[in-house]
Amino acid sequence: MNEEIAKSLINVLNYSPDDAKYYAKRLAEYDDIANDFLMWRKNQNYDYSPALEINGWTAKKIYERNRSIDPVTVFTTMYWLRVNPDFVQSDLNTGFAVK
Amino acid sequence: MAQGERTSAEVAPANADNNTSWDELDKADETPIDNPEDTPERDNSQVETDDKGDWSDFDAPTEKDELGDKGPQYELIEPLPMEELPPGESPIPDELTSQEIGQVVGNRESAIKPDLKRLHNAVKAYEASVFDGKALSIADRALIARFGGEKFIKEQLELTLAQRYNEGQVVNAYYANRGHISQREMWALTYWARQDGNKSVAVYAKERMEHYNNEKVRAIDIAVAQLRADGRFDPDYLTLDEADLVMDYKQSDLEFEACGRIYGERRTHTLAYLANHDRGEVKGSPAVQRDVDLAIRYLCEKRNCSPSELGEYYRELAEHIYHPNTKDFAETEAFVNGLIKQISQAEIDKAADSLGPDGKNYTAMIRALEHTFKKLFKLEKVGIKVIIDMSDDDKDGTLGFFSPTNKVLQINAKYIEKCMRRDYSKYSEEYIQTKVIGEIADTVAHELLHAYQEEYGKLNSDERSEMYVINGFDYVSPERGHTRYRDQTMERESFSIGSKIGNMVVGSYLNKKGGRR
Repeated sequence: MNEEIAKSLINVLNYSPDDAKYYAKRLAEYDDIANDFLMWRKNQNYDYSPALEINGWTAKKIYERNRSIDPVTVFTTMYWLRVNPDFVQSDLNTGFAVK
Repeated sequence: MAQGERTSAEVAPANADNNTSWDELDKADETPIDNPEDTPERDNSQVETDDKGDWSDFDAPTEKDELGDKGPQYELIEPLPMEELPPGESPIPDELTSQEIGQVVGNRESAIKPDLKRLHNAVKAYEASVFDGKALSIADRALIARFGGEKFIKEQLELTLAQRYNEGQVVNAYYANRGHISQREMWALTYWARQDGNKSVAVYAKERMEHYNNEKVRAIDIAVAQLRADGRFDPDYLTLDEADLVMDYKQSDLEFEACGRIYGERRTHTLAYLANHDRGEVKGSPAVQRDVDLAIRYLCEKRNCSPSELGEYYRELAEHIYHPNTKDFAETEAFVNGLIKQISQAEIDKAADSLGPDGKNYTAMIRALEHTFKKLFKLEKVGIKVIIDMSDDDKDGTLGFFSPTNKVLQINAKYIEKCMRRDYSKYSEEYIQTKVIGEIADTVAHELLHAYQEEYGKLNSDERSEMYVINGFDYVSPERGHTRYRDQTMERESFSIGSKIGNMVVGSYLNKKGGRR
């Protein structure tokens, strides 16, 4: 699954091989998050179902906080919601604002 | 007249009076911004600084001052490629700080001449102190080149001066400068609003990215095929040929270049240089090449190593900066926790207290936190100005920023409040208030840590300082993906300390409030 995600990052999202390898590893750490990412890739939108929900957040809800964020940010946020929610709380609060 | 001094008339393009060449430029982009409100405006009277006297040079013009009786004109012209700029020797030196340009751009056209004189004096003084090779070592020069930060290149300044003959563009230049971004970046930011039929950003970006991706893949495929045929392909290195092909492509796609040029070029050429230092000279624009050379020499001197060894070291360090592993995240947390331990609860309480009974005196809280963090980070004597922007205009998602060039740190307090009220409109006023307080405190700590990183990198020689130097040199902007932006060392640390301080101040505020009831 790791390799499949890496290929998507390179071919669909224009990631460099190094970045793709790094982020694919993170997204593939949990099967449900990886599957959710692959659902996004298949549909090319966040309207699929059933959608994974972590701490009340789905990929679509995260995306709706700021429609300019890329899918890696969306699914990485899900990863952090599971591993360390504090890490992304500020992003979710502010809609992925920049400072 | 001393050598190097010119009048405003000489500085201006020869045909500026009849506007011929600028008319042609206008035709290059006949679509004005549909909604004049898209151009950021700022009521400077609402901007507070901690030392207003030092900001007198900016004399922010009002809209009436800038536009005279002509009314708003927000039509933009496309930035000129260097070869199309007016010929002839320009008195403008290669680089200026944004503040120096601000002195010119932020004033009325009638003030060009005295402003330019002052500008030249500033630049002369700057050059004398900074770029006198006899007085400064290579390391010092590298430091200055690096930490001088967002300097404007000659091309941009010439463009700015030329654009003074288009009143609308003066507004653009002024706000681009106030936002600490370049003309090109400003152009890129407003690009979407000028597209036929106003395609959505997402649709247009997708089209451009597909085009970009296809072209880049095609160019690299050709390069790799050629190199394979020659038996020279080495997958571990970015070759000069590949770098050149990528650059060739970039030059063919100006809109994309406007967004990615600075970081893309620097990264490409730094990596290419480090990987190929012994294979020949890397081509690049003089400004970029100079930065790369200085950064490499600076790091080599600091590490007492060769560029070849540095290449390996750079790659290794870059992994920790841009691709943090579990240990790196843990180290970030430990570092930030170590800093926070040095802040007393009394100092946090003082910041929360300063909010006043209604909890809305954000300025006082920011000043209290500023005092605490400047002391903690030993920044009292660095001369960093903290500007609190209480204007109501849209900041396009930017809650605050730190500009190392001008040593200015801005907290968009009113905008933060606006964002929180928008995002939490369904919640109670009390809850929204805590969100606003937390986010403002978060942003103050975040930006002041950036100032600390900047100073630490300058003054130290350990691995942390080198990480800051490399990260600053190769900074990942949010446009390259929010996650990648968040993961880099400098942002990782700043987001971490911001979040913790925000929670601490809110906790203290709620405790006090509970006690008052």
